[in-house]
Amino acid sequence: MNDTPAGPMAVPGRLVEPSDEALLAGLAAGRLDDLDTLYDRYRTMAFGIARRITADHVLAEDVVQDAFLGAWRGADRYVPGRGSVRTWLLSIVHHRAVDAVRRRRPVSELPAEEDAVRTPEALTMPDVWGEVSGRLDRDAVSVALAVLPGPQREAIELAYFAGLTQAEIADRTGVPLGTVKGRVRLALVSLRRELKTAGGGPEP
Amino acid sequence: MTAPHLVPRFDCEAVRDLAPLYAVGALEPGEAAGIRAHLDACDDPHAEILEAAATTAALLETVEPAEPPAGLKARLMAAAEADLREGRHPSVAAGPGTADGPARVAVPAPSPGAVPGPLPSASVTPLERERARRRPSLAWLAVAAALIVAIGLGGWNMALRGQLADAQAYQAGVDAALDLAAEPGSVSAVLVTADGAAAGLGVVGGDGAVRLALRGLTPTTGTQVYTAWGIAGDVAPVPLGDVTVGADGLAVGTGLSPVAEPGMILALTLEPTAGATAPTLPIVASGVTSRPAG
Repeated sequence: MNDTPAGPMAVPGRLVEPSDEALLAGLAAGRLDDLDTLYDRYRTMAFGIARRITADHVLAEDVVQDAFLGAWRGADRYVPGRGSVRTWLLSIVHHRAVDAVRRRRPVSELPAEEDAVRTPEALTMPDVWGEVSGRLDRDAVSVALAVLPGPQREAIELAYFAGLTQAEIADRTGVPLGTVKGRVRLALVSLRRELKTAGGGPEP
Repeated sequence: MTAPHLVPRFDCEAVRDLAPLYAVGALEPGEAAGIRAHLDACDDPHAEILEAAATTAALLETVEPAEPPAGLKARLMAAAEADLREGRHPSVAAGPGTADGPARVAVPAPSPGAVPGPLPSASVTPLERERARRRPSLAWLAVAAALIVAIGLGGWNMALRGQLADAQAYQAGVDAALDLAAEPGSVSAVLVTADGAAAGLGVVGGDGAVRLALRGLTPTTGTQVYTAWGIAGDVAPVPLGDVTVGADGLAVGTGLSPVAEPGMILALTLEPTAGATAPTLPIVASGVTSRPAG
């Protein structure tokens, strides 16, 4: 919140930190230093997300490494118009974490050729991401999530943070598929409205 | 899920309907693939998908950050370095091997001296757009057709000597190519990059001998090679030869072509290994051959 630009305490000649976009351009050009910097900038968020989803310290490490490698190899696929580098990167972490959780499911659910599944194939990359508002902070999103009716919040949690599919959510919560779908839809509508308000945007 | 995923064909309405489930990742893998396939092919940008994804991505902000183990960074950096060394990173690699779709070859920015006169660059079809249309042979034709107009006829040999010569090694390659071009039955083309600037010269002799002299190319690494292709009529491209490129960006070499006829296209692609039997897009440079007037 203390973002007064260039106050009297500003150090003259201090190097401006490279923007996320500049770092990503460096990744695309194969500059290891920029990967180093980007990693340091987002490692705690990335690891926090990976750990939350996998609930497994070791697996979370793999996920973070996979995600940063995905960004490293796929930096040229970032489209500025579709959201910030931050959201893009964290979405990759989320994708990889959900993939990892699904691969870890009980053996009976895995295909026979498990090795093929576990081979580091194409790194899953999100094709859509975005940002509701640059002014969002953690509290605002937490509040938006907290005001959802319980079943809606549960559906979102099970899908987004536990990696369950709609069929699995229906199974787990004992409701029909259509109900799961409806809850997710209502939850997103409500979240979006709350976040718009929190982000200072005009009330729809 | 022991069976391969079936990928359903969704229409726009179905995609809109499934957008929330897609955004939270609750679709079955096959269904998600169906959405992606639709998005790839659809003219509608499907803003509702973007919107839903933006909302769910905000949820990531609620997660408590955590410090990863110190060793993770070293592992990541080692893996990234290995990517560079082994040609897996897009900045050093090209070819079908890269993970998530067609690799991109940065079309080398040719040195200013390499431009053969005022090319009508506006009329050169951007290679990227052509690639998106997935019509490789048409892409070649479009680029090359613009070139043919640019070169014109008559005095072309002298013009090329003057305009293309720069570095001595390159000069030697050009000379050899032009000597071949002077033989009866030879056809020649200036190979141009996507932005319409010349990258060099390709000649096919009457006996099928091929000589290439190009510059300004991104150096090859590892097993990478540039492969020259000949395409005549509507048949599949025929590989003419492979060449590696060092730090000087020069590709000077010889090859062999089954045919030598005016109008055949010469094209250059970057391949992960020598011996490719089909070109890996995008095309780095291309041109349509012609026979010297007179």
